[in-house]
Parts: sequence; C-alpha cells; structure tokens
Amino acid sequence: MTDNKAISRETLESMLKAINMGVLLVDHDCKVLFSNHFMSINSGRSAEELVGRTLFEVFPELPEVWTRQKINSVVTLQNFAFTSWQQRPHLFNFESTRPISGLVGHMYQNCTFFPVQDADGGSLGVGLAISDTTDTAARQLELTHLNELLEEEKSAQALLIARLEEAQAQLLQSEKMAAIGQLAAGVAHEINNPIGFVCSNVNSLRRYLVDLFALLDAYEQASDEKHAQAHPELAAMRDKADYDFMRQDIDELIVESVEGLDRVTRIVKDLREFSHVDSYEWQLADLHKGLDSTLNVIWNEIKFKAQVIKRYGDIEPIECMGSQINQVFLNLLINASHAVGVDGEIIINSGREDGGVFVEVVDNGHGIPLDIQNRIFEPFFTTKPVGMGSGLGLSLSYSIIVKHHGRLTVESEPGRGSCFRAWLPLRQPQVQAHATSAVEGC
Amino acid sequence: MNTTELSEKRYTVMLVDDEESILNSLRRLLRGKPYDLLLATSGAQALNLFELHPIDLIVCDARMPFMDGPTLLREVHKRDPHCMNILLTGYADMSMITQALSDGYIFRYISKPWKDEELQLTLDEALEMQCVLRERDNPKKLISE
Repeated sequence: MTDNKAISRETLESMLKAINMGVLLVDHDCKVLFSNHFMSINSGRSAEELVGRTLFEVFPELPEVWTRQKINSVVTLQNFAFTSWQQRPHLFNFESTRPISGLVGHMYQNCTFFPVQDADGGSLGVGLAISDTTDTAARQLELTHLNELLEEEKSAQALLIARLEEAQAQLLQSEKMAAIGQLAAGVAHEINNPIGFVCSNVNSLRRYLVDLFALLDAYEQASDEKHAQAHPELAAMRDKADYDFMRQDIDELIVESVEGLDRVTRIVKDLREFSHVDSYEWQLADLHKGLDSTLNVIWNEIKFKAQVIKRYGDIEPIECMGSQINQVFLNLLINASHAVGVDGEIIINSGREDGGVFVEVVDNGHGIPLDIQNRIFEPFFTTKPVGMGSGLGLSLSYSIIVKHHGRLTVESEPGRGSCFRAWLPLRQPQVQAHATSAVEGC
Repeated sequence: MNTTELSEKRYTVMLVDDEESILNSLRRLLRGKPYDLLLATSGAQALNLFELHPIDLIVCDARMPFMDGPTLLREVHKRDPHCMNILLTGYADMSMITQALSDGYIFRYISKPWKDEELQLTLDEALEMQCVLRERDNPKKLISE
C-alpha cells in the first residue's frame, strides 16, 4: 500500500482496528477475514469470534441474497458499491445512543463495498466500510418531520385564508347592500312626497276636467245657431285647438299618467322591499314575490337583452331571510342576462321537491366552460372584464344558500346555456322557534 | 237633531305638512267635502291654529323640521283627546307608528304616496268615530241641543 518504511504494517493494522468506523474484509464466499474494534464493540463479539465465519452466521440480520449480489458485483466489476442509510437504515443491527435525546435506538449506517486485492494484484475479497450516520439521519428525519408539520400548517392557513376571503366577500357584499338599502330608503322617502301630491293632483285634475267638460257641454247646448253666427270666432278657436281630439285624448292622457305614476310608486316600493333595510330576520316569505320584485329592480338591465319566461310552480312560503334570498335571485338573473346573446331567453322555474322548494334560472347563453365549472363559486373568481364583475356574486349566493341549509348547483353546456338551481328547505332546523306566522313577500 | 242637520254638519280639519304642494293637493282632494280646512306648514303654526279654532281632525306629516308629526300630535292629544289625529308617513317607520298607535294619540296612519280613496275613507271613519266618542263622553250636550 505504501513504500514508506517508517510506517510499519502493524501500525497500519492497528490504525485500521482503531478507526471510528466499521471495517470488514470478506472473501468471495463472504467469510470474514478481518474485523475491527468498531465491529466488536457494536456487535458485542470479539474479532476472534467473527473471523473465519460467514457474514450471515455472525450478522444474521444481513439480507443474504442482496449482500451476496453486492459482493459478487464488486468482485466482478472491481468497482465500488454503496448503500446509504436512506436505502437500508440499519444494515447491521447495532444500537446507538442519540447524543441529543439520550434515547437508545438503532444505528443508522452508510456502507461502502470496495474491492481488495492481494499482493499480486489478484482479487482477495471485498472490504466493507461502515459509518455511523445516526446524527445525520436524526437531523434529517427531524427536518422531514418539521417540513411535514409546516406543510400541515400551510394547508391549515390556506383554509383559513379561504375562509377569510369568503368572510370578506360577504362583508363587502352586505356593506354594499346596506349602503344600497340606506340609499333606497332615502330616495324612497324623498320621492314619495312628490309622488304623493302629483298622484293626488292628477286625480283632482281628472275631477276638475269632468266638471269643466260638463260646463262646456252645457254652454254648447245653450248656444243656438243665432249665437254661433254672431260669434264665428268661437268655431275657429274650436277648430284651432282641435277640441274634439283634445277632449278624447285628455282621458287617455290622464290614464297613461296615472299608470306611469303607479309604476314609479311600485319601483320605489320594490326597491325598498328588495333592499329590506329593516329586516335581516328569518321570516316566512313567498319566493315568487321576491322573484318579481327582484325582476322589477333589474328590469332595465334585462329587458333589452332577453325575454323572461316565468314558469312558476305551486310553492308554499318558506322560512328564509328574504333580502338575502333576493340577492341570490339578483345575482343569478344578472348573470343570466350577461350570458345571453341575441334571442336571449331566461326561464324561471319553480316547484316543490324533496320536502322543499326549488327555483331554477335557465338561460340559453354561452354556457360555462367545463374546466371552470367547479371554480365559479370561488370568491373573486370571475370571467367578466375588469369592472364588470366583482367575482363575489356566485360565491356569496352559494354561502347564502348554504346558510339556509339549501343547495346551489349548476348544469351548463358551453354554447347551449346554463341552469342554476337553488333548492331550499321549507323550514330552518335551528330557528324553528322564531318562525313568525306572518307571510311577507321577500 | 235630525238627519238633514247631521249631513250638513261641517267639520274643521287641519292639514299639516312642511311641503306646501302636499297641502295643496290634499286641499284639492278634500274640496268637495263638508270640511273647513286649516293649513299649517309647521308644528308651531299648527299649535297656534289649534288654540284659535276647535279642530275635529288633523292630518299631519311625520317628518317635519323643528317639531315632527308625532311630537305635535302627542301635544294635541294632551290638549284635546277628542281630536282625531292621522299621521302621514313618507316611509314606513314601523316602530314609530306602532309606538304612536299604542300610546293612543293617533287614530290611523297613512303612508305616502297615499291613495285618494283610502285617505278619504280613513277621514270619514275617523270623523264617524269621533261622533260616537263625543256622544259617549258628553251625552247631555246632545240632549240639550
């Protein structure tokens, strides 16, 4: 091995014996030719007990087939082979004291198999160098464990963030709704005053006109031909004013104006009922009334885009928070109107099912691509251009329906349209006691 | 007192609203009725008129600056419990209305925008009720008449 005469063969041998790692030399049949102190200390057998026996006699824990293969390949190829603690943590069944925890456990080992030649350069056998990697392994395993914990924490945080996002979305929306409600209440109050006197005045005007026309009729009847000839300017005035038409048209004019005023009145009322500033309470509500008032509120947005077909079934009032359910209807209807193109059609179905009621909003719009169908209820998920949608509508609708112990589902076929379906139970399980008997529109 | 006299009986009705257009439209609506109308655009003015005239019925807006409807009607009710008070509310503030109704100082409330027939009917009912109440509380006066 070395030409340096100063280092004797004995020195080298004692060094090999004393080194703080396991050293074995085996022949082709795996018989032990040499074993050092490390092996004796850890196996509890003296070198004399080990040498001369096969590896498998003295170390029965060694997998024989695998070990023989390893040794054969090293002999054949005259090359190194290696096994690490990750592959075979405890090749030799040695104990080890953990320096940190003091716990006694199995020793983790790396093992190198290397070819050993005799003085003539022929193959003498295979050397095994076994190193104690318990510290490294312990550290590594601890790190892995910590990583796992971190991963767990991370996913818990992700869950928490998702919940926060949902809560924030809900908060945003309910703040928005509260603001709209306040605005609606203010507007309603301000508008109701002028509507009040204008309506009343139009009615008074109608009565006045009836009296006026009666008076005119009386005058007409009283005036004879002679009188008419004496005052030709009267006939001229009558023609110029198109009196006959005017008289006929005034009725229509008044009727139309009254209708218009009724509509304004209803819109203001719907706006108030829709926003429901005063009641965030569970109550029995007629979903059809809710759908109608919601439709009135967004009629402007829908009427030019789609035809709305109501196929209301026979459903009974359900226990719900009317204003919240209206928000769901609003979101579904707005989405449907955004989805449809020319010849848009939105069908609203309702009916009983499963001891509850369902409402479906079906459109013949562009549909939802398959790959995002399961994402549409996520907060902040939107396909609309910036500024068009907050990405909150459906996620909020979903959480509202879930809060009502119901289900919100979607069926959609790209190019054919979508069907959103909300199912709600008749009564809420935990608020049964608070159910009021009053039936109100939502 | 015979029926002819009864039908010719005129009532004094006071209308109170800070918005004159409302007063005018109500005045037009009630023009054909056997009412002597008094108009006031504030609570203070209404109380002044109340001191000067015997008033049968008051229709009063709920929301007015300085003195609101409920405050005015509560005061009126204290001075003359026979005066029929009707509150006109621009928005249905249910808690205020329920309070007013249960305290007994208003007879009815009407929400704006009102329906003309409903308002007239309410006034008729109120005045009818007043007759009954006055007869019950002061039967001698009737006999002496």
